[in-house]
Amino acid sequence: MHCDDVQTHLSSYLDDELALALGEQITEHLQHCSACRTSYQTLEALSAQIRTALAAVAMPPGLETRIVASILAESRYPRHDISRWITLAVLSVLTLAIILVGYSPLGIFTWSVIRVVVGITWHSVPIIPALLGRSGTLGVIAAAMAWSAGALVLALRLGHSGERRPSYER
Amino acid sequence: MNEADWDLVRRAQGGDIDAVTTIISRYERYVYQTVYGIVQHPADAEDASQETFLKMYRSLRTLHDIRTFPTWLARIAVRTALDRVEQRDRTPPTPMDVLDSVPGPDEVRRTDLQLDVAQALARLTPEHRAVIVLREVYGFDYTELAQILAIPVGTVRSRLHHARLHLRTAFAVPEEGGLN
Repeated sequence: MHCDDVQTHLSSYLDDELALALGEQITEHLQHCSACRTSYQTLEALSAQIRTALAAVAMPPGLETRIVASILAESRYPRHDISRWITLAVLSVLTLAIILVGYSPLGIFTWSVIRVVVGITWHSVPIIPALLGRSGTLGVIAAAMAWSAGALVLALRLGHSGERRPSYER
Repeated sequence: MNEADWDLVRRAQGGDIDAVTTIISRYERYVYQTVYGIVQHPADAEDASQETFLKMYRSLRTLHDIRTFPTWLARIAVRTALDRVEQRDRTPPTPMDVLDSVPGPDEVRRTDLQLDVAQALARLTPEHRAVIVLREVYGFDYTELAQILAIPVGTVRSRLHHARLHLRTAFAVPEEGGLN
């Protein structure tokens, strides 16, 4: 094995991250090549110096207290996940749209046309009113509208505090 | 990590604030040293540490395999530190920054070493600093480094190789003899 090849693999050799056969070739080379052996020893010394220096970095006084305080503040006033509210709002609006399209005169007309064009004979639209009655149907529509409006308002109010999903969760 | 640590993470995931504060106490140094090695600035490292633990707290429930907690936390710390480096528009770290972090005048030798290391690390890219710190300080293997940094193992190998070449040049350690 040539010195150039050994130099390329020295870093991985130092970390014991080479295939066994390749590692053995480098071990053998280092036994008789003083230049490569010096390179390896330099890398070893460098690693030790970095370890020592970084391990000796002093912790800032009071850091733990500040971190805990920020977590406690967060636990009392939790942040809201804006994406969930937006999803909720969109789903609510879609639900409302489907209901309104199903029950409005325009919706009933559209369904009629679709049934004629497609040739479907079933009557999906009158089923729910038949089951719930007029007041029940109106109640469902009112609840859907209130739900959609509430979700939209919350989504808009929380919009400024939302943040992008962090990369480590992707 | 042992069973007690896993239980701690489990309790923290369930909203136990005492468990969260215990985690902070145990991993404060781990996180601070990681981000410090990357941002190379005490104040930035402090901010990045705080931000890392806040992100940990917010995302703890998304951690499915609690045995991966240390690498998961390291990943948050590295991402946070790299983002901070990217955001800040400051001059490169000065030796005074390192001096600020040294506790007393009786550690002059250590200060000299820290100065040398800080100056050498400052010449690396933040990505190279990240891989060096995680490898040298915590001894993560290449597979773990690839998971933490979200890069292929081959890139980990290459980054460590190049980072060490740069560091060797920065330290300018003279070598005897020549290559065959």
